Amino acid sequence: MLTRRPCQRRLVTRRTAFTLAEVLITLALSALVLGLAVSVGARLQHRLLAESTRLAVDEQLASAAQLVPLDLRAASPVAGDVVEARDTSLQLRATTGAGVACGGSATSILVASYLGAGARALALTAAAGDTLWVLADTDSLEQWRPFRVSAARRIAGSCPQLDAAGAQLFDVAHLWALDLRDSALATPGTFVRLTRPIRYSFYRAGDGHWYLGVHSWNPAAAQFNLVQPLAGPYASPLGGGTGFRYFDVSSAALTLGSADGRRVARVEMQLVAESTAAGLGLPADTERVVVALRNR
Amino acid sequence: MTQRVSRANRAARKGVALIAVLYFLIVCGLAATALLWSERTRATNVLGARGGTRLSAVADSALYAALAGWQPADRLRQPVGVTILLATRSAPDVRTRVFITRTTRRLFVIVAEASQILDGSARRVSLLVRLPLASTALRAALISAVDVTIGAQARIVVDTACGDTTTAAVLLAPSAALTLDSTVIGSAPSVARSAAAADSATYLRFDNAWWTDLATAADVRLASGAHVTPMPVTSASSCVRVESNWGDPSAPTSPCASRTPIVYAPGDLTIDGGLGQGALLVDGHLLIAGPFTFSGQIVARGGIEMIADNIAISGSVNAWRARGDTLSAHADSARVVLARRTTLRYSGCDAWQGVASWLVPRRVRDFAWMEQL
Repeated sequence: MLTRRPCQRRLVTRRTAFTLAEVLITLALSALVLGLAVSVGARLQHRLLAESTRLAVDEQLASAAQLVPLDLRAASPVAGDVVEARDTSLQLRATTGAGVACGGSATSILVASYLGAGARALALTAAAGDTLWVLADTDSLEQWRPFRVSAARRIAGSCPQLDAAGAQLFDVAHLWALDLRDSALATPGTFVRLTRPIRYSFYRAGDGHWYLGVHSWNPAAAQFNLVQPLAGPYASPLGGGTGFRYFDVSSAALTLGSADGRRVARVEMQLVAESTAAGLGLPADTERVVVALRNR
Repeated sequence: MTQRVSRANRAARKGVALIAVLYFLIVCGLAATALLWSERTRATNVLGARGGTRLSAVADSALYAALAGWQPADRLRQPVGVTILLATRSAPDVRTRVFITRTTRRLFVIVAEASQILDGSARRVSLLVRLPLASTALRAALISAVDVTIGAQARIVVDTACGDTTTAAVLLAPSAALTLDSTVIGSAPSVARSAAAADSATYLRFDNAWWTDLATAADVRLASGAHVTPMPVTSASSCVRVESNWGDPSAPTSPCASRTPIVYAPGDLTIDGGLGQGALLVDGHLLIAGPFTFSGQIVARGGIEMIADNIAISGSVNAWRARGDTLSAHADSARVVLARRTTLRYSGCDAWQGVASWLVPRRVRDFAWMEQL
């Protein structure tokens, strides 16, 4: 009589291996699950990249759309503020500040600048080399006369031309003392404004992409500084998408390159975003900024 | 023993499910966060831009509404350097304020501000406007081309709050004689002579208009030889535009404060008392025979007599020497007599409010609109 040995019984109960069929089914299911997980994960990663790219593009579009109109809206084309109007560049005489003359002498004017919304002080930046326009207002004359600023400094003081309520509109406690190269004889109470050249242009940077840049003015050298990127990258203006367009008062498009700045009544800036993540399949976001010039 | 081994094996089993699920969850979470953040940023940008644009539009609207509702009389009476809060309007979520500052005799700045009540964001825009007021060559309380007699109780003073200056209280043509009562109360008025005081344009030209233009466009046209007692007339807190109502200079808030008529009398005129403002053009002789308060400009071509107490005129009184109708000329009446307790106060603002009431402000050329950001 054969008796089962205890060691054999132990071997049988310890068997934990899979059958071939079990292994194959497990492998197939695992491959399916992993494939699904990887597929969904890849899609999510793609979506994640696309959204972050779109966010960055939106920010670039929005920043350019907010910055340029600030200088453009108050420009006076009839006064010659639109100096050069091309499809890839726009040169302006930007108003950096305005206010009321509070006194001074023939060659030095004290100016109380406008306050901003909520009566907060504006960051008026007057500097030597700026142009001060003084409104000459007589019976027979109404004209903005330009004077070159030779020095500018902030001083504490008051504006006797304005009453206490005027402090809600003008910064009467912090005046600008503007020294002029020529005699201006600004009547106290008259208006002045400060202008400085500025140039916006779409340019191709070293990385091969197109950006919207700004050239600030260098009063000492009397020329524009090197371009500084403002926003981008954008699609190339050569394709006809990104760029400036100009229209006269009857909404007729002005010929690019030879646009007479005095005829410009409306400026359109079209920005076509360039996606930095190639192959994402994103539609090219476009933003069109329309600015009607107010001082005509 | 068997159960123990089996548990040990299960604990030691290396699977990929947990890693896969964790990977899936992390990527899914990141994607969802990015999507949420992206949409939120986009929504914030759009809402911010929309709110700013809306505030700018509201401020612009208030600015041009103030220009459209320009009150010439109020603005001309506003002293130079003074800022007034014209209007405050509160919609459920936006508050609008409009200020007007007069910085020179002609220049005004209108500033409109719209602010979001909830978050305090605001936009402010301004517009420079100019009234086409000509500088009067001559400025004085009394300008006369004819002889003048000033009684002891008459006072002639100068007010330069309007931003313009004058060299004398009384300005006479070189040929005009002045008779001043030696017992005059207080100091005698300053007197100057000018050839321009003998020039008809001084009396008959008002900015870009002439006497005949204003006479034709007069709001009140009286009969020759009329006796009047003008007084403000109101009905249900509204000013009634009738011939006997020459406005109300006594209170800026009165219903008739903004009525500044041009009153034209084609012949002699007698005022038996009353109250009024604007421009009074008399082609003949002007006699003021009762207590009378007037703010504005009076021009008479056949002499002026003030023979009652409590006559107060703020502005300018001008006496020319030639009537419009030469056939009815009276040689002896062409002079100015201030016989009783009369006060003439020169005020450039008051003097021009009548004739300038038809002037409309316009934007300063080239550069008028500005956004204060």
